[in-house]
Amino acid sequence: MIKTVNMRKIYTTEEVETTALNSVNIEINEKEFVAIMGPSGCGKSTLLNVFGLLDNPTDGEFHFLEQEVSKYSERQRANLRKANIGFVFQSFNLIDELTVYENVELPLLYLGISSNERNKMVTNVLERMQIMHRKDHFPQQLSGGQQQRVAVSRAVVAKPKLILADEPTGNLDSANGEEVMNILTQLNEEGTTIVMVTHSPHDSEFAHRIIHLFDGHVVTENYKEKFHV
Amino acid sequence: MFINYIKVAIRNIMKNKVYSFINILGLAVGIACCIAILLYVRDELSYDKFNTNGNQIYRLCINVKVGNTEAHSPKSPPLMGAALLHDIPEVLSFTRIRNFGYPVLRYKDKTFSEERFFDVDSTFFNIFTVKFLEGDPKVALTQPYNVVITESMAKKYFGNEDPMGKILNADHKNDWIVTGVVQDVPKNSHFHYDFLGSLTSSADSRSTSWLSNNYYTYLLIRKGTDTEVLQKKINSDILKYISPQISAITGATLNQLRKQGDKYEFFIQPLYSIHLFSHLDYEFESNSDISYIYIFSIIAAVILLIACINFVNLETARSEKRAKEVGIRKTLGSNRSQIIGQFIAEAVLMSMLAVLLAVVLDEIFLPLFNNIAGKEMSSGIFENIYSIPLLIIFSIFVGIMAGSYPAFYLSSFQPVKVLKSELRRGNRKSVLRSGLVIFQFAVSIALFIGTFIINNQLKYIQTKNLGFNKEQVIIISKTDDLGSQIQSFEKGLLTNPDVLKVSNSSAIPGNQGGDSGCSLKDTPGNQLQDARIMTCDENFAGTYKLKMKQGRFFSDEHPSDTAAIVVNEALTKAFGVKNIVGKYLVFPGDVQTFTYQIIGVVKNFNYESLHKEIRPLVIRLYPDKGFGQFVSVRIAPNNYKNTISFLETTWKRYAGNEAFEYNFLDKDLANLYLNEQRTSNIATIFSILAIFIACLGLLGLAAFVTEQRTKEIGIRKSLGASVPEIVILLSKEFTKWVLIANAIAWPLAYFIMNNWLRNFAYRINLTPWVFIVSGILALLIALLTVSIHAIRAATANPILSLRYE
Ligand SMILES: Nc1ncnc2c1ncn2[C@@H]1O[C@H](COP(=O)(O)OP(=O)(O)O)[C@@H](O)[C@H]1O
Ligand SMILES: [Mg+2]
Repeated sequence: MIKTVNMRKIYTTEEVETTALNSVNIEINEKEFVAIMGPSGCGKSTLLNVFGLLDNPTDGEFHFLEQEVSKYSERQRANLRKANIGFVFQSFNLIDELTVYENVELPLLYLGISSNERNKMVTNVLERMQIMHRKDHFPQQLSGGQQQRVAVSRAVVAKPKLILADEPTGNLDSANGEEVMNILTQLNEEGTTIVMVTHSPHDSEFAHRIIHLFDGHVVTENYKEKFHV
Repeated sequence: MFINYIKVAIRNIMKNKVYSFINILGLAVGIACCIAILLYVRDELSYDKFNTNGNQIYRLCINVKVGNTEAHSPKSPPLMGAALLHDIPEVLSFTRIRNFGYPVLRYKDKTFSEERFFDVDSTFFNIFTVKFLEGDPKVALTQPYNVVITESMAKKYFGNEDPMGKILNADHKNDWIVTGVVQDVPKNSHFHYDFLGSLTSSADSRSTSWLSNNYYTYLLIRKGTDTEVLQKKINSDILKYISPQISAITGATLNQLRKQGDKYEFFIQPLYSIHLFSHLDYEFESNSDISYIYIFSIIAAVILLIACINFVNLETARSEKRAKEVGIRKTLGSNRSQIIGQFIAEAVLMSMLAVLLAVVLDEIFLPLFNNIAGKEMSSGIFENIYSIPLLIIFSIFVGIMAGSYPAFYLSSFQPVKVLKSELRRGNRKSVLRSGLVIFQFAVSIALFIGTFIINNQLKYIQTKNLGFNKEQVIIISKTDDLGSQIQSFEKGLLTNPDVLKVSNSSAIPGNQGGDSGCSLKDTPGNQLQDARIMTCDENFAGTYKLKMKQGRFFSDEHPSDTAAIVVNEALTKAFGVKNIVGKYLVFPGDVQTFTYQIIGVVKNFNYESLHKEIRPLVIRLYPDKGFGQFVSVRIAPNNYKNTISFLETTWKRYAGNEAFEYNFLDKDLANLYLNEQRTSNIATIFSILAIFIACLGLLGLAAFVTEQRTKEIGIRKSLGASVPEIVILLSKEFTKWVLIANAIAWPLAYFIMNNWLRNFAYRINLTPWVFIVSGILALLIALLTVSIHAIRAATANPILSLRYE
């Protein structure tokens, strides 16, 4: 599903060059659950942004769904992204002016799905995430755990092939964090590929494979025995 | 998706109520100004358009210069129309209009003096579109002493009776029989009448003189006629009639005169351009001017621009609050154009709300605007079926204009950057934003300066020494109704000790009679000089407190004064003679030549508006028992109410039921500057509104800037900064902007106002203090606006603002 070849990402700001990723070679298969770990500033978020087609790599190859996309335009990336990728962020990133229902509905609107169909899909996912009773609330009126469940609902509502999660439990207490991890695991078991950045060794236990980054390099990759290719 | 945008937009509006209110109100006030001015412009452009053949109607005018005599007038000779109809095939029809003065009309016990009584040819109704309520336009004016009256005149004289066939007596002389009732003349007409009498009633209408220009003549021209060619044809055709009559008087042919640089030509004016472009002598009514249309349109555009700039400034200032939303939407797959669409849709929604509010504002304030603009706009906003679609298009236009920049700016945010919570806190020192604020203030300051200068010039006009004393003078008009009783009337007035002086004359300052050519006897070349001519009694100089430069004014003690004449300094100067007293002035005439001896030179006084230089004037004395249409009464300043009622009772004693009409001279003179007064009023209002809108924007901006700097203020205060220091810190940037705005506004205003002042022969000089005061005023208003927030932020508890982070 994802394959990078000698991929680099360099940020240039006011004459300071930061090499956030350096000759990264990673391959992620469909239905995998991968955790990315490493110290702060080592390039985890950068990697996830490139995977999520939010940013282009500076050089190297990046294949997504068998397409070389490293030179895609913003519009091409947006189209590929909205059809295939869901995001979950540490800070939830819900739109404050939209209700729970409307936040979850948003990706479907950008996909141009009919209103009947949308209604079905949103209701489905909200029920599944047990947040249906809050559908007309605004994000500010919800607890952190509830907000993250909304964020996850929004990430999965369009049935993406890939979910990218950047420290999804970072702002949650352990009970809520556990619940989010369970949801992700369940989604993975249903066939969704998941790439998750995390600091927590406990959370990384849920993944099949852990990629350790250090200063923009891949240091080690550990496979768990429970995953069989 | 669209619904989603609207939802977000409405929730954003509701969430930031104060901000949204400021933004929408600013826009609404701007749009309201714009709509009011557009209505004004539409009304001005609609003049005479109710005539169905309007674009085929032209008015004949004359442009003459013979010697020092000049005339630019919309009147032409009596035979002109008929001759053109006969000789030139493109002329399909014509009608003449003539005003024989103001008759006093009577029906039973009803008596009124009427100023809008005109005699017209029966073809009037073929040319102009007039709706008859009663009577037949084809025959209504074919017989002598037939009169067609307007609906409101029918009510005024006949109440509920049927006016048809009724008799209106004029001046105890002629009986006019009503043969038609027509709708009142629409307000947007360059010419208003209440009565149209048949012109065949007057023998003068059959005069064959080609040199008396007394008839307004309107032509109906064949469609598609080249008017340039037609004008040439008219001039060459008319030569054969006019030339012999000119030679008979001047001794030279028209062609010879033309070689000397003289002019005698006719031109035609399209009906539709009269109201905005014609400024000839003897216009029916004082016309408007196209320059007002331009000035007001520019002001409207500028105010709208200021309002849109507010919108741009406030939206971009607020952009960081929307940055996260943009990031999320992009992450979820929105592309840039969708984001742009969303923010423009939001701006359009805001502008629609603003337009709605603007319409309400206009509905409330339009009567006031009409009042100030001296208009009675014949149609409100919704009387036109295109209004609503136009308003919708207008709000979309404004929305796009105001929303584009914020939309492009916001949509440029990169999701990767904005979703990192460490996003830089909005760009406080945006060059664009400060540029826009500077522009707004430059325009506001320029408007301020303009308003000050207009007001100063008007004040100057009103207080300028005119060379005569205009205070405490009451003018009684139409005293010629009294006939030879006028002297007894004057004596009657003088029995009251509060009546100081009384004088009867043919003209008064601000309301002058005609011009006449004259020459100084026994001077080489007999140079003909054009001069205003007026006739009065011996008391005129005393009543107006005129000062003599040489010689003396007329006096009872010199019975031979009826053969004498008084001239003004300007005439002396025109002839270039030092000692003019004792010399003779000659007035060549059609029938008879008159000669007067000059007995005095009166010091120059402004008998016309201050737009004009003082021109040569000659003053004659009434022969015994002569009388004129004005009696000027100088009264004592105290209890003038009693004095006026005394004037009226005395008038009634001599004039019986004739209407008593009086005015204060200074008020009449002020009316000479009505156009300027109105412009000044409108300019004042719009400059106040412009600065109001600019300040609203500043208020919003200041709110955001202080909010952004809350933490900084907290730290500074905890380090010991005082409240004034903080306020100064927060106001510094705005002060800088307003100062730069001054530097732009001053030369701009100087240039424009200097140009405007050229309209006046007597004008103020531009002094720097007007500019300085306007600048300081703008600065004070701006600082006051900004300090509302600055003081609040500066006095807040620092702990609160630090915790806010
Ligand atoms: N937009 C950016 N501009 C410049 N430098 C950046 C930007 N984003 C990240 N970086 C730098 O790239 C490196 C990797 O950042 P990031 O991927 O956010 O690290 P992590 O998520 O692992 O903490 C860091 O040194 C960071 O400072
Ligand atoms: Mg990170």
